[in-house]
Amino acid sequence: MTSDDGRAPQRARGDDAGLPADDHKIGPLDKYDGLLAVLLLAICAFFYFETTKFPAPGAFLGENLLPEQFPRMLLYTIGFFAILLPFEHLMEVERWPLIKKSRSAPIGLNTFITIGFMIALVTIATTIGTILTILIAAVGLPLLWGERRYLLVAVYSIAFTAIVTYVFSVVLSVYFEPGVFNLTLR
Amino acid sequence: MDALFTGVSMLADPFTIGVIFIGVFIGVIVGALPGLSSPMAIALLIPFTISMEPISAIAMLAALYCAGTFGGSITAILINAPGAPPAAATALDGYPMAARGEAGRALGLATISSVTGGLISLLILLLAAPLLAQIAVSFTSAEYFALALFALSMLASISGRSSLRNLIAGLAGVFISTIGVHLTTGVERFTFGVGELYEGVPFVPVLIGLFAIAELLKQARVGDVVYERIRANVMKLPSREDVQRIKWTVLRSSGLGTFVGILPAEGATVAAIMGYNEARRWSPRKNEFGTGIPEGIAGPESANNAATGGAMVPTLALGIPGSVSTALILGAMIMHGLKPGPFLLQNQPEFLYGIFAAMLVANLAFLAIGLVGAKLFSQITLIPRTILWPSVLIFSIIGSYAAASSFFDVWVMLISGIVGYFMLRFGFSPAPLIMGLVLGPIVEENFSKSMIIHDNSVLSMLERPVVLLFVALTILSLAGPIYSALKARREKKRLLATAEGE
Repeated sequence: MTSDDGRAPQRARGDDAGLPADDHKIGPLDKYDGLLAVLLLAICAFFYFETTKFPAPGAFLGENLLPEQFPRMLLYTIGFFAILLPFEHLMEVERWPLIKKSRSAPIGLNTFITIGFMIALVTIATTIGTILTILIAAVGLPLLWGERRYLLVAVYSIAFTAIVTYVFSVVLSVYFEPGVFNLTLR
Repeated sequence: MDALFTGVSMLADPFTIGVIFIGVFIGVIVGALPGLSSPMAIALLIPFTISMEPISAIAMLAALYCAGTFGGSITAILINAPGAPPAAATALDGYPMAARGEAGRALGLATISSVTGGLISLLILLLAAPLLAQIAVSFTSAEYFALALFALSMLASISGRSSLRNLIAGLAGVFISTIGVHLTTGVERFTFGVGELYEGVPFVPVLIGLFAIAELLKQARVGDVVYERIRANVMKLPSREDVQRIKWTVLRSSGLGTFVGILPAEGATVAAIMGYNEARRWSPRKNEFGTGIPEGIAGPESANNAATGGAMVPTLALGIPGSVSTALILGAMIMHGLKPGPFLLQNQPEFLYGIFAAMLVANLAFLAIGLVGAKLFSQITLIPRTILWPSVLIFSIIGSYAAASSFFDVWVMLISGIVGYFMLRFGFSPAPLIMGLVLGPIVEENFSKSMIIHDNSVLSMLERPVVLLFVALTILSLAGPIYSALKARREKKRLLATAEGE
């Protein structure tokens, strides 16, 4: 039996047809969830270490729960659940393939560009002020996402910035950072 | 009686009525738009309520919550794209009915079922919330701690991809709530010298980040989707025959939806799925489900809308959210200086009646919207994504900034969004994290108090019957997903064995 292009069809080797083969497993462990568990345990260890730096409260507060006790209880529990993560695929036979599919989906370049754009925007926000930050977001993101109807982008960005600025700055009396260009409605 | 009158009399205030209608309008739009969700809209709307009276603010958010659940059914029926997760089950029969030229009938059935479910659950809210509050007033910190623990354990069964991941996310939310100064000792915890974290991680920016920015990043790689629309010029009210056919389904699903809504952490999506399954289980036409039959629309629609009223019961009576959206409403109540819980209902009973009145108006308003505006709202999906999502970004920036006029909060929103995006990729839902964030202070405060009262003895706490009951429920709710997973595993093995045998 051959497929349309004349080649023999490949047998799906993964848990589900159409998904990558089981190269993500080491014995009963799922490799990626194992890495995730290590990451979570490292985070828990870091915060646990932080709790050791908490100053001791005064003796008159001795009856109370110490400030580190509750966070530590949480860290122990999260750590315990994290250890179970690599074995989860053995239990969640119905829903686990969805997780596998979701994590193996490629992250598009556009996602990284959007993250970079937002980080850059918030970094310069204090300098350029609130109004200009909104305007750049309204112009920049449509263009980055491939919108090429420039008139639409121009009308949208000006109108939307004006409305948002008016509603928040004038109606709701929110203080808008004027920035170096001293842009403000009030 | 005075409180009821005071609460309902807020409907005479044109401003409050106005904001309720705005809430309904935004709710239906957001509900109808695939990708946007009610929790996201509530998170983005909270900053707009800063200058409002608490009752008007919460009324607006409650109206949005009701309408958002209904709005999803319009696009589920007309374009087979459920605008919101609770409407996914509606599409199973709604779209086939619309596709065979009965779109108006499908919309009519959905609207009437939604409104009926909503109204029944509101009546239960009106009766149950004060009763529950009366019981809860006698709760000591030990009972409260056990109740909050039960609510956290329910995260294991909240809709999502994994019970284990839900629990981790929920506990991470509780952990994040410990950031800031420890109230009893004054010790700074995990602030790393950042002054802005002294009072804790700002709640609204985290909400906006997790719900809006994470979804925006998910949408960044999705292309434009062209939906095939089914024409529906008018909605048709159900015929007498249809009403006869769905009346028991609606009543049953409304009761079920309200009950599911009352359970901490469970929400409209779970209610809708259960409503659909129960409608099929009780129907003599089981085989016709999925082909476009009225019971298949009435079941999930009445259940998901009934869950909204149900979810408000523990939120208002106990201060324990019944769903993600009510967790956000609870956060908004705290932001407006209210202390949700039994004492709020005892001291300000008009608040409950005000919310009841707002949700009543919202239900009637979306009946009107369903009657005249369904076609218009289905066109909302025509908004290009290159305009829609930048608008979400702008509302996210300004919404995070507005509460404290601080760009630090915008950073918190952005970091939460990026973390939320990667959480989604690895199967962690943001909903349990938010629930944990809301429940965190309740858990810690009551745990701390009860440990003092009970001489640091957990066993002594367990001598209290209500504590024991909640602990038993906690164990059951944790065991439930394990049992289901084991059952599914056995079933899969059995199917594999059968297939190999053949």
